[in-house]
Amino acid sequence: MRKISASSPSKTATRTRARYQFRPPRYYRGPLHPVQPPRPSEPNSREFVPGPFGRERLEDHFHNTIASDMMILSYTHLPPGVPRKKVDIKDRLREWDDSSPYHKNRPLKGPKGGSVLRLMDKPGTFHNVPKLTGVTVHSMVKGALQDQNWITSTRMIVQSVTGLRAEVVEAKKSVQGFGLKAEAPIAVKVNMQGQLAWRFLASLIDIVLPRVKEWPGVKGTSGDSSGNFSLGLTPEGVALFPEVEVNYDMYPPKLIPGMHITIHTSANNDKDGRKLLQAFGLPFYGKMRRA
Amino acid sequence: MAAGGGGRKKKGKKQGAGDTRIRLIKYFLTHPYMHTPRPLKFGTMRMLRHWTIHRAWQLFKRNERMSRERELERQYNKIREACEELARTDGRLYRVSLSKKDIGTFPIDIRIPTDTPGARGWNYGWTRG
Repeated sequence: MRKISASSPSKTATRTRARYQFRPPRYYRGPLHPVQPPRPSEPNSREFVPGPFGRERLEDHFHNTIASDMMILSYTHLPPGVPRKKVDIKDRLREWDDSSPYHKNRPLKGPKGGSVLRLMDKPGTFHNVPKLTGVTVHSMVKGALQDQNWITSTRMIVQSVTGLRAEVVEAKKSVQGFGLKAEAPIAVKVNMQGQLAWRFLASLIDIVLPRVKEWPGVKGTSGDSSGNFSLGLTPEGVALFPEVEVNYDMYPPKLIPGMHITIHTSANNDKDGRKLLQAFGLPFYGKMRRA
Repeated sequence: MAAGGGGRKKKGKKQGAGDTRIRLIKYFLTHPYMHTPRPLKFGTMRMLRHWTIHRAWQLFKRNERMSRERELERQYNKIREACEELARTDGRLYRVSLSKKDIGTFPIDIRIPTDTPGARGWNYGWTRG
């Protein structure tokens, strides 16, 4: 007698296959096309990725320990009965002094020192605890101007390190001084979100950075005053990623790129963003950026 | 070896030119469809099983997220109540507690928890050289 599998009892029975078999389209042909691809969560989709097969350590650490501590650190007391101040965007823009008749009906001026309004600090509550929103890896290789193999090996390294297919960035315009030509492939970039971002950051903090020789930490002046931080890795540092290290011989040793890593947080200012990264275990050194 | 970039064989030196590693990398970067499996085809029951598991996993994630949010909200409300209580009992302490000055940050020796932490931990006595 044949054994009947508990998970798929129909295997032993005679099976009749449905006459119509849906075949997912190879390309997405737009929202108006009658044949739409299945959702990525369905296994017959071409974008289906099985998993997750485990928990992300850093993500669990964040939710179990860091989130409540961050909330306490950014706590702002809002006494009951006291109305919240509402800041209109018009109050943050500057008016023109009517010194010229041409000032009439002009739109308001932006802030001093730049045309972009900075993010507003909101009182810290349980809704807006800063968290990791993504990690961007950008790797510009100068050598790609002479040797296209640079881009090839960089693409492969960035892909294996991040787990996503890397996008090749082309130069926007020619720059004589750098020997740069417009539309020449010069860099490779990847933007990670969610699970991949947590995993990348955890391996960066736990495996790569502790082994970088003489690494002082993230520069205190790093940050774009809206909670995003960048750090750089030399080719020696990139070679320390476990994904590169296990088959280091696969790459020509001269063609291993350095990379810039930008960590995006949902914090509205650098202070809170830095606190989050410090909680993850990233040290900062030198003068701290105030914003 | 397929990594020559198929087609006709060219005569001359160009055939073997370049690094083998680069040729291999190029090959595997440009032929992903040869290494990615075709989309899965499930029977009705197996698809249904998959759908059930998927819905359950989504529900689990949702419940987890909601419980985390609720826990944070509960803690926030407790902090707020404590501050109000302090305002009623001692005005000076209340003012001191609301001050944003000298708010610390996380210690440098904070680590992501592991199953196998280092035996010696943080070496506070370390000096260069």
